[in-house]
Amino acid sequence: MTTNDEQLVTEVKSGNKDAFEKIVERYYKNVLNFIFHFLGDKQLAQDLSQECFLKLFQSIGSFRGESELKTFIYSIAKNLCFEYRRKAKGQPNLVELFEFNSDPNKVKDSRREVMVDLASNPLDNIIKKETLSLIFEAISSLPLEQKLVFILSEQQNLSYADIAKILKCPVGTVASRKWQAVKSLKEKLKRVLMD
Amino acid sequence: MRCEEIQKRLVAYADAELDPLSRNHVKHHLEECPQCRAQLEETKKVLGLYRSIPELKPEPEYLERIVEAIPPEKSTQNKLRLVSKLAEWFNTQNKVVRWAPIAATVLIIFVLIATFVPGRFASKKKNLLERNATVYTYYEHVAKEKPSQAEPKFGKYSFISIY
Repeated sequence: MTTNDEQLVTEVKSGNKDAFEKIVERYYKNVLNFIFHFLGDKQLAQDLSQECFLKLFQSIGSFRGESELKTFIYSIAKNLCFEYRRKAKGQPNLVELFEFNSDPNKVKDSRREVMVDLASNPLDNIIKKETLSLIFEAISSLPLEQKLVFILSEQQNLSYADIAKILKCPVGTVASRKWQAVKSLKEKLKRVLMD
Repeated sequence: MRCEEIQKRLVAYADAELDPLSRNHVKHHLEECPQCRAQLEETKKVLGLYRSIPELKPEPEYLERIVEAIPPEKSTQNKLRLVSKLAEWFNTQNKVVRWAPIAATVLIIFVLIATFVPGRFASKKKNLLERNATVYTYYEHVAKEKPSQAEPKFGKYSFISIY
């Protein structure tokens, strides 16, 4: 736990709401992007990340500081994602709804909203968008545990040790899951890799 | 190490997550094996592709909305303060001191149960015995004075007198 996080947590525990705002400011982008990459929906990512910070506020009293604050926050975010997936079982899969559309004027999917400003050249833009949507689809098709490890490691730049703490599993398991994820992605993205 | 084992470690190698010994093994193997070198390049390419996805930028009012959603009630804060103070105290004490109040509470509850629960049963039993003794004495007295009334009558309408 960094000194700043520790100080902020102590202040929040003594009832300082401003300190909590600082925590939110520090982590909200990470949480938002983590949930977005995991579930693939921008609006859902915003709603769940908001819920994540509410849960953090409610449970910060029981946070003992044995792990880092960011590990604690990611654990809450991960649990929310899993809970959402459990509840949403039977509903149409977001991945299935997301089909690549080469016409930039027909951009509807929240994922593509991110991909619009990729290049100034329209042709480059279309190619990059297609590539990115393929990557997204490949990531979405990974088994949950592999996807989780891959996103936490690559998108959030967390160490294997931190991921192991969040998932409550050995570091070796994290390494193995990431290797399997990369192996699957290589297969799924063969066409992109050949270009 | 064989190529298969090396390739399983290439992702951790690319992430600089291997211990120094394993890292050296992989490094030496890569210097000699073009196949594994190609695998490493492919791994880096996949990771690079994913890293090229731009960060999702939240809407301008997003942060405000989160902060506004935090409950301002004093009761929550007071509860939070009490819980955090208790948690802080619990964490700062050594094992014996931190468990002492819990052990004392359990002991007090046990003593209370042991004292009052059998006592209540005993007093009930005593009352019953006393009442039985009184009834017995009464019938003994009736039997002596009026032997005909000592036995209950079961003639016509006798149930009325019983009720």
